[in-house]
Amino acid sequence: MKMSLTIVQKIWMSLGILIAGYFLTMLLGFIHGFQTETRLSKISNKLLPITIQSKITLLKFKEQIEFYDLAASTGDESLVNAADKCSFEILKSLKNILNFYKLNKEKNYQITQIINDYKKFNIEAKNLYSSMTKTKNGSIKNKNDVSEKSFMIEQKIKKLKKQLDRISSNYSKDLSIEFNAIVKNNNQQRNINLFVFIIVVFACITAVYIIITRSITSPLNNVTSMLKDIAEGEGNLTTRLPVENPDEIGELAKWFNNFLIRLQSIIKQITENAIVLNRSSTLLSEFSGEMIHGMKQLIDHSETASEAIHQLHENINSIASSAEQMSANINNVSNAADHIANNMNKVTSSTEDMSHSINSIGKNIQEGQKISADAMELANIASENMNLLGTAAREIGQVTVAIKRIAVQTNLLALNASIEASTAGEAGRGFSVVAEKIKQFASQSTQSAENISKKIEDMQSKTENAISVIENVTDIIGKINQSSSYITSTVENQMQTSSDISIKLSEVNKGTNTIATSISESALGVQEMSKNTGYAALKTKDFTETIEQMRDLAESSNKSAKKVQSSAVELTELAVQLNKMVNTFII
Amino acid sequence: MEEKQFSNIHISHQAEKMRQFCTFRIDRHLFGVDILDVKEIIDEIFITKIHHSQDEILGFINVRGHVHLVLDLRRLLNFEIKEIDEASRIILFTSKVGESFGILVDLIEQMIEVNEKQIEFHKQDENTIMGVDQKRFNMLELGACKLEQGLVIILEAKKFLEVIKNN
Repeated sequence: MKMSLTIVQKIWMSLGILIAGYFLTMLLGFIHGFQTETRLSKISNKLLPITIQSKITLLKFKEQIEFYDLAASTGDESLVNAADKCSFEILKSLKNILNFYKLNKEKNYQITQIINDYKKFNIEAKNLYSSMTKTKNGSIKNKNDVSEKSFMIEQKIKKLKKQLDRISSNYSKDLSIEFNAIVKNNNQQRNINLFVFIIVVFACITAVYIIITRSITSPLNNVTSMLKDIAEGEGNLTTRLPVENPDEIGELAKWFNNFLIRLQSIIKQITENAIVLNRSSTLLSEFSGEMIHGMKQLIDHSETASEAIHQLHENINSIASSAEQMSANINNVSNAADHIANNMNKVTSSTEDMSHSINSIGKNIQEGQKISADAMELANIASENMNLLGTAAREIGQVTVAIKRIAVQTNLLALNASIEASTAGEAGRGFSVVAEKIKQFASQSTQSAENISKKIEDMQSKTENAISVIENVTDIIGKINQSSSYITSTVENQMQTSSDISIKLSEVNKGTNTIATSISESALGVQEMSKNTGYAALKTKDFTETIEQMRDLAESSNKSAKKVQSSAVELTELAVQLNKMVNTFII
Repeated sequence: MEEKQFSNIHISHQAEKMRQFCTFRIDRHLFGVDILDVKEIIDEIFITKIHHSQDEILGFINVRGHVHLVLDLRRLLNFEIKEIDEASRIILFTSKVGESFGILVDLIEQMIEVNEKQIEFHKQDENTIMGVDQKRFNMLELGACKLEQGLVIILEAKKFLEVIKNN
């Protein structure tokens, strides 16, 4: 349900509902009062006077009767007149009743009958009682007649009395019925009124409550919860209040949303600025760090430079001293050069001796080479012989195999012979002995053949050993031959080199002479150099001073750079804090 | 030794029943046959095969014009088959043993002379249930004799052909 009304309008509406309910109950009460009023007016106008008149008629009738009775007893005619007066009044009141009852025909008829009856009675009674009074006063002539008449009148009186009584009682009953109806109706109406009033009050209260909760309290609660979320929670700035109704709360939400948008944009800018600040502060700290680093390097370099200059200074000094030493040494060198020249001469003579002896070595080695070649030939012959021996031994082995086979055959032969001998029985006994002997020979020959073959095998292995030894010997001789040829070639090389050495030595002799002259020239140069080094030492001192000044400046700038770095670090910390604070908002 | 020989001779004189056997080897086991049944031992083994014959029959061999049947003793005694080599020999039996035939053996040993008392003759008990091979061995075995060179099982030459025929 959407209510496009403001809060004031809503409150007014709820009040209007209350008032309308009140008016409804009032109207009901008013209608009911009007009803009772009409009824009461009816009573007061009609029923009440009728009852009064009826009562009056009854009383007057009784009074008339009494007057008549008194008149009858006393005989006073004035009393009869008084009774007449009463009868007028009764008629008058009866007519009044008739007037009141214009509508009810039945009752009108009754009353007119009563009036007629009464009129008759009244005439009769007047006549009677007037006669009675006359008789009393005069003579009692028609006494029986009178009594008869009085009896009839008494009967009529009773009848009339009854009728009147009935009418008055009827009226009073009507009255009481009417009153009772009024009272009953009144009670009923009061209950209805109460019931309706309660219902209306409840309906109004619920309607007002619904209106208030629906359109006032719940949006207010929404707004408060949202604000609470923003205030207490993570500060989510992306949330917006719902603008549902164009009432005051809607207005509030709209303006609050506008405020949030503004705040969000501001915080976004702040975060961006914080990031930029963070970045630039880190850059600043890096730059300052680099600057410090550079300054340190500068200081280091200046220190090393000053050290180097110190060293340079010292070196220059040492150069000066060493230059002096050099000049002294150069003199020594020239002396030594002379010595070298002398020694060189000796060396040339000894190299000549050496070349002679090398020549003799070469000759001897050539002879050795010849001998080794002879030995090689001999060894080859020996190995060939050995191989021949091996083949011979192998042939012998083949022979022994043949011998073995023959022995086996012989053995078999002996066996068969012994078989033959045994089959011959006693006659072959001698032959069996011969066969046994043959068998023994066969076994002996196999044994000796085996021995021979074993020995041949031995011999063969030994000849093989010998062949291998001879081969080793030939190898060795070949190696000797090789090495002797190598020696001859090296000896030739040596001879060549010794001649080269002698040539070079003569060149060296020349060189030593030139060295001696150049050394004397260099002594002059060294003196010049010592002068220049003294000047250089002075200049280096000046240079060290300027470098120390530079280092002092570098140190002071380093300090300031450190300060910059520390402040940059603080700045980064601040930027980080700012970033954190801003990040607590969700943008 | 001399005393022993003497005692042997003494015993032989007492019993007067010396027997000679030709011994041979098959797969290290020493066997022997009566020398009176042996005709000849030959070492030239050129066997002509007989097709569709029994496994135990190796074939024919021609000895100086006479043809002999050759049995493989290894197969007869249910040993593993072995190729013929230098030591292999064929023992030919005399005609009184049966039709001219011989047996192939691995190696020939020497003649031996044994007193009959030394031989433990084998008791033929046909009631006991045994396999075909054992039955054949039972038929062939005459007895056993314990000598210095080992136990010699003496076979009966007459039974060889009988055994084959039974099969």
